[in-house]
Amino acid sequence: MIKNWIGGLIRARWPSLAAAALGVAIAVALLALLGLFVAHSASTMTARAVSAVAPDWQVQLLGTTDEAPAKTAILESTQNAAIQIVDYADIKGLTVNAQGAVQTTGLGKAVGLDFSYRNSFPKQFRLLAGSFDGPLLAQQTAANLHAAPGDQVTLERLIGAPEVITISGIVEMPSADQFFQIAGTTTQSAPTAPPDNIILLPREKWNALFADQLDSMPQTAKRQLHVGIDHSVLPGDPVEAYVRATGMANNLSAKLAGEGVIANNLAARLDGVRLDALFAKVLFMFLGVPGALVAILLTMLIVLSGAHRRRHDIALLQLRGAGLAQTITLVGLEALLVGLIGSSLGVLVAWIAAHSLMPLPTGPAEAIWFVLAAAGGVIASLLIFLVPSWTTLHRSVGQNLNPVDLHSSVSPAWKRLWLDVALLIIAAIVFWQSAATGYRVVTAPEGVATATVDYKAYLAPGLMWIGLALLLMRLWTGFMLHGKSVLGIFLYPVARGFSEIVTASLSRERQRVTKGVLLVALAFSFASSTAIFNTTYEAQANVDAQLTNGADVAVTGTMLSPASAAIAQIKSAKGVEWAEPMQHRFAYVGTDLQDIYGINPATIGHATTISNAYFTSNDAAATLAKLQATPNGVLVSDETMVDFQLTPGDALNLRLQSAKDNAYHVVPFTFIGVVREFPTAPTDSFLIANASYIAQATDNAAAETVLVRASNAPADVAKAIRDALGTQSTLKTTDIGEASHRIGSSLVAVDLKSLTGLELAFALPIIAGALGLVFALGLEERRRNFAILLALGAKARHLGAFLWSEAIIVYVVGMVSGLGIGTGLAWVLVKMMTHVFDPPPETLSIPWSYLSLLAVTGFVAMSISVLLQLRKRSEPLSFAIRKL
Amino acid sequence: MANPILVFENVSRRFALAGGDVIALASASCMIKAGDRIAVMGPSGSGKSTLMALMAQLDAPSSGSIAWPGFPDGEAIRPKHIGLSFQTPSLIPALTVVENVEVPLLILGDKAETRARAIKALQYFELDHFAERLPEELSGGQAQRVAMVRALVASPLLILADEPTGQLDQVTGQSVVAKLIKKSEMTGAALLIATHDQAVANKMDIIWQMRHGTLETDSKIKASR
Repeated sequence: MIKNWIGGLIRARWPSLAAAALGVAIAVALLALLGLFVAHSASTMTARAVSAVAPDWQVQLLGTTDEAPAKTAILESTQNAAIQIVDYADIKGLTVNAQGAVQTTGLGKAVGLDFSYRNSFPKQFRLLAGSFDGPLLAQQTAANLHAAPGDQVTLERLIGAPEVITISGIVEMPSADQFFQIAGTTTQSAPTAPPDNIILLPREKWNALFADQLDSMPQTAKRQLHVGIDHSVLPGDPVEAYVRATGMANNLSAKLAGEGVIANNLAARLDGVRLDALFAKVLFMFLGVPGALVAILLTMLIVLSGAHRRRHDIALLQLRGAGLAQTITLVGLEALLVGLIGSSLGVLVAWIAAHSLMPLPTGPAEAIWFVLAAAGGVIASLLIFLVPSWTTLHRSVGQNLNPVDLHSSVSPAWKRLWLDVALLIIAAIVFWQSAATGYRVVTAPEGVATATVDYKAYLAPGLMWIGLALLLMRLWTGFMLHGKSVLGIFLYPVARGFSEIVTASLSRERQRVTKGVLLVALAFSFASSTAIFNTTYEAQANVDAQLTNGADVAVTGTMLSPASAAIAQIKSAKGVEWAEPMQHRFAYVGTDLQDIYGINPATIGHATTISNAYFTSNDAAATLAKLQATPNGVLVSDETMVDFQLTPGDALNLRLQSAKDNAYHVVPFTFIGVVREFPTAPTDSFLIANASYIAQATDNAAAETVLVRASNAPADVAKAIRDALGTQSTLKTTDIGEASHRIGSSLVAVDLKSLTGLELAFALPIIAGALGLVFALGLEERRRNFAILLALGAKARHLGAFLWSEAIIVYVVGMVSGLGIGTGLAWVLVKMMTHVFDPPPETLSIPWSYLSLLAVTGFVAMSISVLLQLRKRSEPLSFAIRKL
Repeated sequence: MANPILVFENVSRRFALAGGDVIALASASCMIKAGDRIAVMGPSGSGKSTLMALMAQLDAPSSGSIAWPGFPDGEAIRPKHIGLSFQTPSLIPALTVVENVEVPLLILGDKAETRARAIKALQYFELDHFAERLPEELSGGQAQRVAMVRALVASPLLILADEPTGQLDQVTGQSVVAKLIKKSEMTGAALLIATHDQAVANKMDIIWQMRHGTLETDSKIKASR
């Protein structure tokens, strides 16, 4: 019997089975790819994050200068480790006597390291001038001393006579905070502000100069081991990698037995990434799961369209004496057939997409995602078939053979209970709570291995989605019931003389029509929320990258070799739309040395995005105008304003280095506002002032940086600028793409393109399917009505009046509502992901072209569906009439 | 003598089924003239419905020819010239009774007072008080009568009624047939009823017999005509 049943199903009902299997396949493929993407993005984030760490550990020796036992312990804790000895000593200062002027610094540090250090940790130093072959000065120190390679610097030691050192090169230390950190008693790193004056010496020289100090004044000199571990031992997931990195350091700590403390830079880095990884998971769930749900809803629609036929089948089975178990088995077999075919197809599509299009890893480790998604598909299929059939299975033969009352006046329970409004109120409360806590969806307390996701936050968009969908049903059914006359006016151009009865007919079939509207609205909401979020995300990632890099392309020099000197070459490069000089100097605020940026407020916006969010006034244009109108105006960071108790209009005396005597002199400024972020500026304290004022006060109009807006691809423009500057140039040219990679573990650096591209690609068939198959609802009844109308003499245009009217209602109302819901969801999502963005976006970015594509896809699918139903019947009308 | 409005010449209708060809109508020749009142009798499956479907242009013959000389060339014959009702009530469930009746008028493109005309047609069959009801709120007999009104509302020249009294009690059935006849007399339309009911057939002027797809048009011609 089972064999006959299955055979009969396949022969007679293969189109609806295939359509249902296709719906399951879409859901399964989407879920499998989502899982793969989450796993892959997490491991990518880990790999990127750890690649940016150098060194992984800084082991500071305690009470000993013998590094051998510590080295042994390190190699026992982690194999294949790169270990470098680094010595630090406090110094009184450095002096240069150049061109008759004597420049002297304050306290500083002398660092001793081997030449091989650069091989182990190549990202620690970047040569700006000279060579690595001997003593090196840090960039800021060289600027303070006005020293250049070849100059002689007198090193004032705490113990012993001053030593004259010949400088070989000037270097930038991108990770100076980390390099000079004080290794504490915990496994966490504690980056501190690096010393203002730094000289780097070969270890032999350092030993010769500071061995006594190391022995006699251990509080002023220390020895560290910088360790690079083998990153291949770390798990792909950032949370697991963090736990592993912490465990390894703890193991080493135990082995060191008090002879050293570890600054665990690796764990600190992963600590930040695990937060991002959880954010990523939350984000992917928000973006991906609705798509799978819509695909399941689509499948439900297809299955429900055959409910009448299934009820009839069950009635016939009951008539022939089939028991409950037997009937359930047969319905279950249909479900299983659809589930297995759909899941297999979904897994195949996911594998091909992952393997060929994305590409994502599809090895044995990833098989779990395919298995889980396929299992989900089969379970969903069983539920979709069996749950609606449950009532039928428990009804009598007579009840199952009777037609169902299609025009029931009893409202569904959710409507009577105002569930839609209740859900929206709960969503609003949850969202308000999230807003009150600063949208902290993910929290990872520093130093605690477990990060937590505030799963309650999921409720806000989830309940909002469901609540809005139900509200749409309530409003639309209400409108169709009470707004027939208005609807008739809108439908007149389509239905003409039939508009009155078409409207009346649709009004009476409002439950069915509204189901179609709802499905289309959900499909559009999924597609539009994903697209809007993605576009906003991309735009903000671009802003973030611009913030980091400064502009599409940035050319960076030093005070000794300013980029503005080469502005003519920069402007001559192909693809340079605008080149804007920007000073980058240093200024003392009290005793605190801060970065100060000199800009032209009128033109800086031509080269880079100046976001409102950069300023506490939340108005970039007004703030820059105020700066322009106040020649000695200065914008300071929030921290500086609080520390120095500043109020707008206060005088603020800064000390800037003059080009005349290379000494720092007091320059009066007026505090006019607070700046949060600025292109190329550090995340902590910095200052923004008028370039012309700084130039006048320091007798130096040069700009260390030139920001470039590119009219071509930034990478190409950067290359053109490098070519224009020539190989001898010491100026550093970076493009926005490099910055995106440099911000590394930040979630904004995660390339969402492939995931959203995939989702947007899935959205098209889902929308096409929703609009194409929405007519599957009530198909039997429509066939019957059309047979009657044709027999009465109706032409295709008369049938078209009914079909096009319904199609246009479903399409227009579904699309408009869906786009509205999608935009609302995207807004909530962006708000809840505030911490992902730096700075948060000011407005949503709307992808008009993609939304237009969705609209066109929907229209085409709807039109094809209508036209297919209007096509000439394959059987004589007399046959159809007999089936009435 | 009235002009013919429909002429069948050796019309056959053959259906290709899995078990072999079935001849539903074999070489039928007949003529219907304006004002004719014809009953077609025959057992189930004898081909009555096939005959009516061919007459109403719901189907095309496998061989032979059908002509509608009484209707202008190039005009759609339904619902302007032929009004038909089916064995089952066949009302559109989402439309009220009056809207169902209004449909043929709307198909014809009548814009003037279609609702009033539909109500008037319902009044003729004493169904106007059901005008705003949905088909699911009617009994089978009521629905059948509404379908009859719908067949007549556009005042066709040929009325085809397939088992019009099948779902009616005898008294109501007789009344409906009487009204059908009266209506056809008023408009000069020809009336063809397919029926099993001899009493209904006896009210017609002409009785045709169908047996196994064969039409016998000379079965009975009532002298009272």
